[in-house]
Amino acid sequence: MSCTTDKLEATTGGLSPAQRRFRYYILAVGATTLAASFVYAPWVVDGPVLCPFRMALGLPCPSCGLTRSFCSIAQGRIATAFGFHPLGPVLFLGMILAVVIAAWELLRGRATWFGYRMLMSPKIGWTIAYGLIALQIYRLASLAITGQWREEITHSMLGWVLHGLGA
Amino acid sequence: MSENLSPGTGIPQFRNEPILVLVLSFVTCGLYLIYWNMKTAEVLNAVAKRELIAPTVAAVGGCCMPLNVYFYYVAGEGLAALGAMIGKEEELKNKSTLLLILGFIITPVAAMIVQGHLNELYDRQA
Repeated sequence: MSCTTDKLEATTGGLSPAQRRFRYYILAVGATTLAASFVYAPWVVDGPVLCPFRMALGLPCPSCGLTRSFCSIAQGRIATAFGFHPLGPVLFLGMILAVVIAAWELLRGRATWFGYRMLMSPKIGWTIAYGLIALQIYRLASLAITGQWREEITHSMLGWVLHGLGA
Repeated sequence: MSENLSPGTGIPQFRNEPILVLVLSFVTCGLYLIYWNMKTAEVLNAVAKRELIAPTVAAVGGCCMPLNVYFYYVAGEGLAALGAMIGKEEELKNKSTLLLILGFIITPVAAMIVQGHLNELYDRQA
């Protein structure tokens, strides 16, 4: 899928109600997430586990650690943020950019070609996807090599089930 | 990237057993959901004949809250278009809310439901 000139012209015109709704969503969710990173930072390390994968298996999902990473950035601890999730700082910057572009487009009432290109680019999408996949494989391999996965599974639902079965 | 297209429709083929989507999502700790999201976004964009789901949103929305909630909300809109193609418009029109809630609580189940409806499309085309 590539951006043809016609498509770009159509999308850099006035915003349709659906396009407007999408930008309001980005603005609301993006701004709330960024603000929450600052507010939630003091409690994030001891916060509840909301990830269904982590609860069920005890192992992290590809986005586990992003909240802690975002909160670390909000506290100015960039190195720690990379430690919690290597893509955290990149996505944090991306989110700031997305909020700024969405606000700009809503103010102008028109789509910008660079915002459209970034959002709709399959190349960027697949790059992010492969990045997350590679990172997840690395994390799971690290847990397996260090043997830490056994301890993680013990404290999960799967661990309780296995314990109940006497495994 | 090569992809199989359904004959005459231009809709990419992405047929899976719904239960397999659920199992693979858990077994791979969410890895499969990233791939599944990307492929499903391609299919739903082709079904809706517009860019309904941005690839960047689909990639991060694999597991990441709150983007996965948005992904399933928009996927619900795609299902409405899919419903029109398979003669189940009324049934699939109001699935956005259900998918949104499931996407928030337990993402793989929402993925399983969407996959089931995608399969209905391919069954109809066969």
